[in-house]
Amino acid sequence: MKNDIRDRLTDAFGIPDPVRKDEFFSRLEEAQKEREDSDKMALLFTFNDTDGSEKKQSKLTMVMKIGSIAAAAAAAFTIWVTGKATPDMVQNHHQHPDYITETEYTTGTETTAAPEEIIPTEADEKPVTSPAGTEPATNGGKSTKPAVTTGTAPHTTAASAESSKTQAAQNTDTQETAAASPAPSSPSSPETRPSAGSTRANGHSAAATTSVSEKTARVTTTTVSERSARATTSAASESTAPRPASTQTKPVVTTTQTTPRATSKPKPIDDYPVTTFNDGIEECTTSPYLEYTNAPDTGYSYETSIVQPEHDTTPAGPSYPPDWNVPAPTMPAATHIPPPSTTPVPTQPAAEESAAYTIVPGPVPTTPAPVNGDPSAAAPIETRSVHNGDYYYDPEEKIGFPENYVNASELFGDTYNPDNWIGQSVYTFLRNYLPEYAFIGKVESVYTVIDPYSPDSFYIVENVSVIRPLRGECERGDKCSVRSYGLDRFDPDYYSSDMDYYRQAYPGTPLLDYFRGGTYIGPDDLYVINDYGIRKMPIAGDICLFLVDGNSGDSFLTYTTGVQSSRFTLNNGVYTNDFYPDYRLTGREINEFFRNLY
Amino acid sequence: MSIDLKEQYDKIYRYCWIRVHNREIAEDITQETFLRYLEKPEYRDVSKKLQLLYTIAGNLCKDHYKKPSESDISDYSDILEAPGSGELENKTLTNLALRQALASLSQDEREMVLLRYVNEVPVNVISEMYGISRFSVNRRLKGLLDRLKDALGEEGES
Repeated sequence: MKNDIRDRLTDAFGIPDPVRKDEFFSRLEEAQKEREDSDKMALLFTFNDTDGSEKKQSKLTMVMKIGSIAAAAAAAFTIWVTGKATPDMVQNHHQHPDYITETEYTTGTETTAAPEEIIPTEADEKPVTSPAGTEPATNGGKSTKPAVTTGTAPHTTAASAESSKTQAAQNTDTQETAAASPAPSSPSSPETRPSAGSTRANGHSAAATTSVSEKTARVTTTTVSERSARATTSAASESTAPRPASTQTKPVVTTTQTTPRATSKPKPIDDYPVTTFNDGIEECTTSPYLEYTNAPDTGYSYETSIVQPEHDTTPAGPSYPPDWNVPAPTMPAATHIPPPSTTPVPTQPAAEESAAYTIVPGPVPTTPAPVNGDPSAAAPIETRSVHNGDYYYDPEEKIGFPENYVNASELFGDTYNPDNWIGQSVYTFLRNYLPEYAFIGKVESVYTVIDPYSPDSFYIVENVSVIRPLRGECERGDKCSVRSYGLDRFDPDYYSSDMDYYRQAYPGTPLLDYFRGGTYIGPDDLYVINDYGIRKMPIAGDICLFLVDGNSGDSFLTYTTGVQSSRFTLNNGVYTNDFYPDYRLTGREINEFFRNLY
Repeated sequence: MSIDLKEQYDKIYRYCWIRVHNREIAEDITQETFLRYLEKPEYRDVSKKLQLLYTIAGNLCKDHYKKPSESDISDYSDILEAPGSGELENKTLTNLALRQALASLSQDEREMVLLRYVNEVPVNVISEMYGISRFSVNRRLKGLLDRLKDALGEEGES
């Protein structure tokens, strides 16, 4: 039916199809592309996507990336500082087989130095270098490795000490070694050095990268690998001449790679202060963000600060018996808000605090801002905070509606701000449309039904028997269904703004006996239900003062709905439906259900 | 709430057309609406984007009315006799009763019907556009729909 009406209306309006839509959007996209060239980020955040959440998400992603880079840099710097503080580690790096291997590899193909030049270096350096001493023990029977390894490492270090200030500054021991040694590399010919250095710069850097990457994967640092790469490069460039020719030394050196790694790796790993970074994260987890989630100065507390002085009421939990068969006592219209509890607010774990929709017990710790200059409104409010629209059935408090406001603004995507409310107040029409019927009635049953033409809203329908007619053509004993728009806000100023006009328009109406000025003065066990919003979710057994506006298309006393599939009957605090037997929905869940349904 | 601009283009166009009754002008206003919407970043930060689009379009239509060169097109029934509307007449010939019913509505009522039942604008957006409550919107729509239903029923019976 709905689609049929829509299609026929569309045809009936006779609106021609637009002809320039595609052209418009193509031009728009072109303009956006041009804009993209100048400002990609702006385009990313603006074009064809107006959702602020994505913008935030993009920003968040960027921040996370930048943060991760910064964290990695900080970790690398920490490691570098740690490594600098342990010269032996630096020395180990210079004597590391990778370092030696690269040097050996490059020099082996180029140099023609005499083998005996290595021998004195080996003799000088043996007592100095610790990894050399460990190698025989770990490698067992490979006797040639220590000699070659220790002989080349100091040798190249000495060469680098001559040319590289950085390396000299890092390792004073190697300088001493160089001084003690007969400086076999210094006599290297200037002719060969540049050429050897240039060819190595490419080939060696590639080799160094390989070895460094392995090292990096294990050590998980950047600084160390960078340093080793630097050291390797300098050594390679300086150690050309004195190298033993040795193609023979290459395989020997290659076999020694594994042993020093195995011995030298654990120490740097243990020394690296990885926990520094983690400590920073842990500090972040204790940020006050989670506390802010349940901070009292949220939108909800604002509303309570407004509502509280107007209606000094609180949910009448005991008056809502969950037992459906027991005749419920009447609903008191106003009860006291309990005084602020002196018990401390129970602290919750952070994980539980993040669940923003949980009911927050205890008093609100801060004082709300005064409302309309009334200092009494600033008093701390003891309330069972119902956060962000969670005003539905609550297991402990039965019907958990806030007393005076049923804040539906969040449900309809609106952010209620009384200072900047787009559009007119939803209650303004009350000045023009006064209830046609007024009576005191007893609620026999309650159900809710979706309006098929307004799926974004739904009705709360009360089947009522009239006890005392107050206005309109209704009599005692009439049975009728009264519908209210579910979860609308109920204007606390309703009576003050409309009853005066009502008094002028319909003087002498018995309804006015229940009001003095704008204040309801009727029995406490009555509360008002009208078409415009529910102040409190009615349940069977309630006796209410109904203010009902007539509907043009419906007969008042025979209001029914044929949309049985969307009809949920309130039973023991939850709504049930024959077509959806698994559902036992609260008021909010009803709303969510309807939203998903349509 | 993000909105699909391409989808909204047709709806805004319909909304403009029903107010100006001219395809070219309606499309111009529609495009101007989107351009104004897109060129203002602060608009896109507003949570009620749909309402904003309709507000811009409505204001542009009002500006269009202010132009002295335009003829009076406030009477919707003019479309039945408008030159070049034969195609439309043929298209909607079967719904003549409905068209007549629509022609009997006021401009605001037609707009409301179009917004709700053709463009499927949510009731709360309509209520804010017109500055009335959702209840009032529903009640008005209910009455309008009943009138249109009667028209459809009569046509179906005939």
